[in-house]
Amino acid sequence: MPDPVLLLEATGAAAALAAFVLLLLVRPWRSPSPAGVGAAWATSVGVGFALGCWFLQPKLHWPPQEDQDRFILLVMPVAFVIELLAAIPRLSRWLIGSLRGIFAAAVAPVLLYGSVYLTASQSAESWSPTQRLLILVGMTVALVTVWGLLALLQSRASGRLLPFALALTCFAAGVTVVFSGCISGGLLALPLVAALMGAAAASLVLPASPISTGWLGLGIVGLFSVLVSGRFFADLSTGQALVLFCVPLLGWVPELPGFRRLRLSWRDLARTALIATAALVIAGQAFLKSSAPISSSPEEVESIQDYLDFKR
Amino acid sequence: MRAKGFMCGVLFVVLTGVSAPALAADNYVIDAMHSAVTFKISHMGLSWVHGRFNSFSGSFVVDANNPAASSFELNIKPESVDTGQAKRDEHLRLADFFNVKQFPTLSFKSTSVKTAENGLEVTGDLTLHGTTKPVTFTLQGGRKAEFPKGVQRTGYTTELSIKRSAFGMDKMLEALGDEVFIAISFQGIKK
Repeated sequence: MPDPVLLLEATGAAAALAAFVLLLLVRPWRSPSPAGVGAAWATSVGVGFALGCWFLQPKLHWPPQEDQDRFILLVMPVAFVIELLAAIPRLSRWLIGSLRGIFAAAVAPVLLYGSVYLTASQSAESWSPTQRLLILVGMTVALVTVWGLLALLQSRASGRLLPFALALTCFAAGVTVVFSGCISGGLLALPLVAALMGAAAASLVLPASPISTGWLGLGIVGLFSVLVSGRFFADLSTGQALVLFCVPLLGWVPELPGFRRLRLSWRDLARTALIATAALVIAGQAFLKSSAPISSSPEEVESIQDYLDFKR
Repeated sequence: MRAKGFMCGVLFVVLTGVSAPALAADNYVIDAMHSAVTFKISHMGLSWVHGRFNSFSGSFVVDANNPAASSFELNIKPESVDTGQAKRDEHLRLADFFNVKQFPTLSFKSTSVKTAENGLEVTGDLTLHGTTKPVTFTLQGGRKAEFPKGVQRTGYTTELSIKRSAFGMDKMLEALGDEVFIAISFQGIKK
């Protein structure tokens, strides 16, 4: 396990920088424009994440060789650029939506590039063209759906705690991936968690500002990437990955008809508590599973004839 | 007539003599049952963790008269890594180490073979973790045996060390050492 002091430094630096950048760019003493707020959120989460990664010093390779290289060096920078473009008011929403859609379709293939899943080989894990199409389309649909529903929730509920809730989900995903056997992959969630937390904390001191989803693109793509890495390059189960990815959607529960009468702040607290509880329960289960002894399975034994024949 | 017969005899000897080296190249398939690819690596500089790969295959050509024509090839499935601890093996297979879903093969293919003082000096390309680098080692052995009757065998042994970070396998170096000591002992069945 990495040095706990290093982890604290990385997360502390990421959170502090994200908070500072958000306050600097939004400038609370002025009335900020929606575009400015969107760009500020994306920038604060992006630079916070980058600084946290720099502190963690993950072993990266160029050209990218494995999923972690592609996550840090390709996926997150592109997500950052798209979210910055999304903050430009003159760009049509159709163009931004298309860019996000194309990007969402590209994330899984980029992360899985060159792996046994996408390479035609004799491996039992190699996907047939039909399987490949179904799985990649399925993952794209999941990403687009959750991204879209959270964006809708943010614009509808206009609460301030949704970034916290997503950060908690990312934290649970990182912890679960660590307990699924990939320490290096799980730890990459920490800078994102810290950047989201830092920016969200800073936003609490701002006066009421226009609704923004500038943080959402990086957050949801980061969560998706960590879970894809855990599922396909570690021992995270499909069920765990799917549930963790859908956990932020629990934020919709307080928007159901019976709860709409509650004040926004209460609904915000309720959604955060729901998401945090679900995420931490899943992380706890992963911990218990990793701590359980491995059950012994009967070994496959070659016949005595194989041995006597000297494998002729 | 006698001179003609003598010339034919000389021609036969010369031809068979000339063609003898070509016939001396023997092709073998590695008999995994009587071979082993093992390694040891330092754990925090305190002790050695020993392991092996349970699944590998390969072939080699040995030309006793022309060692440069010899060649060796070995393909290892890193997924078969076995250190005697199931949880550790599981961790070794995942992205922190071998990342077998991204890099499913570990292979060696010789590029040159020459006679050394105590065996054969083999140079070749070792591909580990998706990175290919040249390595050189000395193979000792080459004794031949027939076992069971009608099956010709020969075998070699070597030891080498590599730095795993040179192959991009550079995570958690503080826990598991960078230098890996590898021992390979293999036996081939003549085709």
